[in-house]
Amino acid sequence: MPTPIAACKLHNRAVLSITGPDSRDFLQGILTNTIFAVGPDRALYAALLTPQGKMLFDFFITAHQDALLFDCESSRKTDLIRRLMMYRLRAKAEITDRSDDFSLWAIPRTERDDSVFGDLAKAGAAKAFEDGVLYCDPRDQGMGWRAILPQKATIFTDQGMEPYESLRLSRGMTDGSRDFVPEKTLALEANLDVFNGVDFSKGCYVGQELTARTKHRGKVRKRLVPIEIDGDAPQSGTAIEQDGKTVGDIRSSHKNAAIALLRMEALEGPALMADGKAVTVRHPSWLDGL
Amino acid sequence: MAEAPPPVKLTEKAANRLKNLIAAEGGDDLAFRVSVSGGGCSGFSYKFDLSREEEPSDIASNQHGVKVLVDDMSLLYVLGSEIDYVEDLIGASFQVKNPNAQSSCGCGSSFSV
Repeated sequence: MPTPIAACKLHNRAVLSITGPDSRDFLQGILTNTIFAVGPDRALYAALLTPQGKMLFDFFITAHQDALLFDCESSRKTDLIRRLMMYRLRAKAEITDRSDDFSLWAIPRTERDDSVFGDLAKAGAAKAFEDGVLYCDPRDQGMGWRAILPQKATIFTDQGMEPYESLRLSRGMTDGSRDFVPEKTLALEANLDVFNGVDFSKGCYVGQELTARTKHRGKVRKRLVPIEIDGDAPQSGTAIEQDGKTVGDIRSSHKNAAIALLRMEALEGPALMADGKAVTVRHPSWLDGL
Repeated sequence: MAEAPPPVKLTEKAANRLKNLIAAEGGDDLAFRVSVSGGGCSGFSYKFDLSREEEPSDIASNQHGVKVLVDDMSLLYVLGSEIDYVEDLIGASFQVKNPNAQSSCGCGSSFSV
């Protein structure tokens, strides 16, 4: 038996499957990204917005046998199922919670094992793997890989979420509603554009009008960006100040690393403070030119 | 007992336009089907078809000489609507006044509830 590979079991994620002849047409009409791109060798990042263009849910979508699998937030999966059901109407598409059958894993790129994953070097590259799916994070290839595997699979050994959280926060990758505020944060404030989560040339989907308008008007005024704090990160919701004025707030964090929703003009300028501690903005390459 | 009002009302203008379309299709037996599907900028989109098939779940009505069909699931979203035919300089189209819609998108073909 081969040595198990060190990986991070993502306890806060769940798996939904969508099956049936109308699945893709149904999803194409409501999601931000083009579902027709998903295939055995291609995974996708996408979101479901409110009609006003605010974030509701984000997820990864892969193809597995005759199903589309959603890697979504576990704590909000029932709300997601309900929202999908609301839009389904007469479409022949079955939505099923498969969390009892599958578990979700991340293999941070720092733990890279080229013999297994080297062929999936590019963001979104996917393949069938151990009766499940393995794919390179479609937002950022530097994040490494994610896998949806049957519960009984033994190829991975769980090393806890810490390595994943550290890498995620250093690269500014968000984690669902720990970072965006449902029904408040705009799609582009949640970086859906730079994370390959929007197809700007597809037809109508829920929230398309505002998302397109934000894009073509130019500047997005605030975004979720990675920061480093001088000391342990204060709790989610703590204000970030510049010259005594609030310019953003802390979202998810681990130790001294966090994601913050920050006004873009505050990125250049005087010192940032949160709860009396100095805050430094990290600059992953996707933040260049925004 | 008074007859129940139709779930979706056609204006006379809309009915006249439909009669022309039905005649052009060459089928007196064609009905006007109104349905709603998920998707579109605001979340739900209207769909109009000329149809020969009537399903057991359809609610049918006759208005100004046109047979109107609405399936029971779509009915929840369009009950009390009025469908008009509007001719503007920019173009002519069927338009839906839907009391269930909170908002609709720029082109009016989708709505939210």
